[in-house]
Amino acid sequence: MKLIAKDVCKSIRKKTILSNINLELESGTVYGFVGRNGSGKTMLFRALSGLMKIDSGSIFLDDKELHKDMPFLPSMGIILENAGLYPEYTGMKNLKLLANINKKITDEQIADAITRVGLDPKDKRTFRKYSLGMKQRIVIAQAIMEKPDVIFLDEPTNGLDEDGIEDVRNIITEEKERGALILLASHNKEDIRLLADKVFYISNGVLKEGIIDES
Amino acid sequence: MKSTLKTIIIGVVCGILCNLAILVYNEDFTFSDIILRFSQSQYGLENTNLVVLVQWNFPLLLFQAIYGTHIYKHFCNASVYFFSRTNNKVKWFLKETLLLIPQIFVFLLSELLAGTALAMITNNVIFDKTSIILLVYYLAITSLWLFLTSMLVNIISIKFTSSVGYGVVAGIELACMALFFTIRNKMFELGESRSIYDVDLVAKNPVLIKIDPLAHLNLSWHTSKIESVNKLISRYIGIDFDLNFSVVLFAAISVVVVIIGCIVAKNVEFIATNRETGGN
Repeated sequence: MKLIAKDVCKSIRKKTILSNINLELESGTVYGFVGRNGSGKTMLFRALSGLMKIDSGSIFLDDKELHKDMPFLPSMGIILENAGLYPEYTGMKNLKLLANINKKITDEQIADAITRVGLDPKDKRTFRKYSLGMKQRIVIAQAIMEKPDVIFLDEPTNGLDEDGIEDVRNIITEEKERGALILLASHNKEDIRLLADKVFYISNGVLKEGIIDES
Repeated sequence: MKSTLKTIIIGVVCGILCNLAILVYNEDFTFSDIILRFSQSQYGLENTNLVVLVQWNFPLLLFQAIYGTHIYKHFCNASVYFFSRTNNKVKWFLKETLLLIPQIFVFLLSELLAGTALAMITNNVIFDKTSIILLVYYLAITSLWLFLTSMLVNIISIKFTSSVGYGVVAGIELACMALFFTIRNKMFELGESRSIYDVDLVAKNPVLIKIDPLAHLNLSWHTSKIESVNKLISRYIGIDFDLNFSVVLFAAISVVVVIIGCIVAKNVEFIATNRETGGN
């Protein structure tokens, strides 16, 4: 499976967010994206996932074009900054609501995903009462629970302690071995160094390949 | 479950606060009387004042403040994860809309029952058969009003922000309250009598009442083809202001509001609306 972006451009209120992005990404690989705040990493993920329309260019998943043949990537898990879950429901209830949309997995598989990220599926606390680390873990669980083909991880280790970071790194490695195509944006250089097979730098919406030491 | 409990508590508190004045009485009240009190029916256009209007509309404004951003918050919080799994934003929006309806009924019934229980402390409350029909009309009209105003707050919030959403809708409601007094002054100009108790003036000018949405909430300003109900409510004899008209009007506006909401939910790029948490 390949995710290909050709000359992708996006502007918002006359400000260039993405400028001639060209990418060819393959499954079973972790791609690291590094850049300062506001460089366009999150916008790139939104564009590649289909959650944001682009102004020009094309995005293909194998031979199918995004926004023409499909509205968004059909098998996708995503974590975005500033996105959470319903605050009045428990973690399990939130994930059940999401899983109920496509009905691909059972309650047991949801519970497994929650356990995998180090949380208790029977925890009766609502999402509102979760600590920052717990919130991060549960959104990671929602991203991986349906075993998607493409996983977008925007700052997945934010708010996590050392054990949590280690758990997330292990999960990313396991998902890669499963054959998922993983896009990882992180300010944590150690995450990129340990996990990414290939690294891209993004600055002012312009993408270039690089190595971690450049940052 | 917790949100339903919260709604019940708020409804009970509102019901008690709004009906505290009934404790000074030591009379026989029918359940119909209680329902009419909650529909602001002690006052007519000719003798209402701003304090009364605000007092009786306060629970409705409170409900709008709490539930008017419920769908919007869900849109901001979790819609990313929903809309990455389904392109059908309209289905999601309609589902969220349906979740609002039971909360409205729970709120109104809690308020009414709490007010009734309070009345029973110092009064004798008699449950009359006509009250069932009156209750249906009260719930229909008031719930539709709460529904369409809460939905409007949510929809405007999705399109702009929550402060704009609530500001616009509450502003319109306050303007409607002010409109009452303008209508009353207009009526005094139309009639020879300047008596504030000139109810005939009101009956002769139904259009002036009907244009104000808040007038539709007051059951006693209406008439009904059901004789037992009509006897209880018709403050303005001969006025052309049927209860069914208010139900149909609010239902039609609600449908339009939901359609607009579906269009907004479908077309707004959710990521760009997450202004509340500092997103872009």
